[in-house]
Amino acid sequence: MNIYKHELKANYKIAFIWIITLCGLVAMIMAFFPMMKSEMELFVKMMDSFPPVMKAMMGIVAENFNTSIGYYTFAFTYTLLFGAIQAMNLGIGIVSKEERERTADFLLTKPVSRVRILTSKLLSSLTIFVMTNAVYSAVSAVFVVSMSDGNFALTEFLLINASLFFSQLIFFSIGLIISVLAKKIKTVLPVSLGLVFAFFAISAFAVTSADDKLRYVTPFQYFKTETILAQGKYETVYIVLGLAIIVAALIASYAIFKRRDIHAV
Amino acid sequence: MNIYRRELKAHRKSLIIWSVSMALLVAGGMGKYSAGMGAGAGGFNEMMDKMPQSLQKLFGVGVFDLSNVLDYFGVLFIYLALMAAIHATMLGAGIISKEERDKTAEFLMVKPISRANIITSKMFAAGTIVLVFNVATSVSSYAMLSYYANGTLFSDGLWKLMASLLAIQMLFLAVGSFFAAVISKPKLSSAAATGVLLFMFMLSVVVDLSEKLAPLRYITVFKYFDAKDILIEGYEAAYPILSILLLTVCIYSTYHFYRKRDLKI
Repeated sequence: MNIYKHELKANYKIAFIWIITLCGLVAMIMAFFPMMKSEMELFVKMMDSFPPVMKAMMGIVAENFNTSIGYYTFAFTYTLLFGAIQAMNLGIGIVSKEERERTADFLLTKPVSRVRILTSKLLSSLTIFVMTNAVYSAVSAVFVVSMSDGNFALTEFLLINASLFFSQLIFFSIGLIISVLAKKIKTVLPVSLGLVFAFFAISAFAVTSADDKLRYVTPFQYFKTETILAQGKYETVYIVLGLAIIVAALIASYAIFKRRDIHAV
Repeated sequence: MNIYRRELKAHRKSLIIWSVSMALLVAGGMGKYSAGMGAGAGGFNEMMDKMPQSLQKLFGVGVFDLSNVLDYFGVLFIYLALMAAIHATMLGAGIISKEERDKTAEFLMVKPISRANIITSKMFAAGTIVLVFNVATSVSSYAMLSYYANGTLFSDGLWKLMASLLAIQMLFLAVGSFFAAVISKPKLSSAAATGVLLFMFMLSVVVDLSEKLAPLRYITVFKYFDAKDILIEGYEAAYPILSILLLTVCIYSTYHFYRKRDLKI
C-alpha cells in the first residue's frame, strides 16, 4: 500500500499534465468541426467512388466524416498517439527508475517481496490510466454530444473511448517488458518516443487496407475507429491479440523481475 | 577532441538502431507504392482535385500526384521528418544533460577544458551523429526510390527533401540543447523539449485544417520544410530566414546559459 501511494504521489503531476494535454488536443481539433462540416457535405457525395486502398490510407471514411462522431475519430487518432506516449513512458519508467535513480537498494531491502513491489506499481499505473480515461471521456463527450445535432451514437462513442484505455494497457505492457529485459535504461523518453512514433508511422502510412498483415505489428491498428463506427464492435482477432500481448508481457515481466540482477549503488 | 570521440562512441549503438529503423520505415512506406497507386491512378488524381481545399491540404493529396514515385515519397516525408526530429531533439537534450544525469559532471568539469569548449565538442559530435543519420536515411530512400522509379527522375527532388531533413534535424538538435542548457533538471529538460516537439507536430496538423490558421505555420518547424512546398509549390524566403534565426538564438543561448549555470552534482 505504501508503494502504491508513493507511486501515485510521484506520478500525479505528470499524469495531470497528460490529462490536460489530451483534453486540450481534442478541444482544439473539435473546434474546427463546424467549419469542416459544411465543406464535407459536398465532398461525401463523390467520395464513395474512390478506390478503397486510398480511402484507407488517408483515414477518411466517407460516410462518417461529416458527423461529429466521425470527425471525432480523426481527433481521436492523435488522442491515441498521445495516450500511447503517456502509457509507454509509464511502462518503461515505473520499474526502471529505481535503478536509474539509485533507489533500488533502498526499496528492495524493505520487507516486501518483489512480486508485491511490482503489483503495487502496476496497480498505481492502472489507477492513473483509469483517471486519465475518466476525465478524457467526460471532456470529449461534451464536445461530441454538443456538436451532434441530436443523433448521437452512444455505444460507438463509448467503444472508441474505451479503446484508448485498452491501447494504453497494451503500450504500457510493451514498455514494461522492455524495461525489465533491458540491462539498463538510462533515459525513458528517447526509447518511448522512438517506439511509439515508429508504431504510429507504420499505422499511418504503411497500413492501407483492413486486412493488411502490417496491422498486427502496430497496436494503433488494433481498434480501428472505422470498424467500430460501422459494426458497433471491436474485431475479435485484435482483442485476443491485444489481451495476449498484455498477459504475456505481464507474466514475463513478473518472471524476469523476480530473479533479475538489480544493480545497487 | 577526446570529448568528441567519446560522445560518438557513446551514441554508436543508438545511432545504428535509429538508422536501421529509418530504413525499415522507408521500405515499409514505399512498399505500398507498388501495391496501391502504381497503375491506373490517373482517375484517382482527378477525383482528388475535386476535394474541398481544407481536406486536400490536410492529406497533402490534392497537390501530390500519387502515381509519381517522388510525390508519393513526399507524403511519407512528414513521418520521416517526425522521427528525425525526435532523434535530434533527444540527442540535443541528452548530450548536454547526461553528465548531470549520470553523475559524471564532476569528472568532466574538473578537466582543464572550458565549458564553452565542452559544448563545442558535444555540438560537433551531435552534428556528426545527425549527419550520419541523414546519410543513412538518404541512402535507404535513394535505394527504395530507384527500385520503384521505373525510369522516372527523382534524384533532384530527393536531395532537396534530404537537405530539408538535415535542416529539421539541426533545428531540433539546437532546440534540444537549448532546453538542456537552460533547465537544470535533466529529466525536465528533455520533457520540455519533447513538449515543444509534440506541440509543433500537432500545430502542423491543425494548420492545414483552415486557411485562417495559415499564419501559425511560422511557429512550427515542420511547416518550414513541407514536402509540398519543396517539391511543388515553391519556397517562401521567410522559412530559411526564420530557421537561421532560430538556430542562432538556440545555439547562442546554449553557450550563454550553460556557461553560468549551477551544475547539479
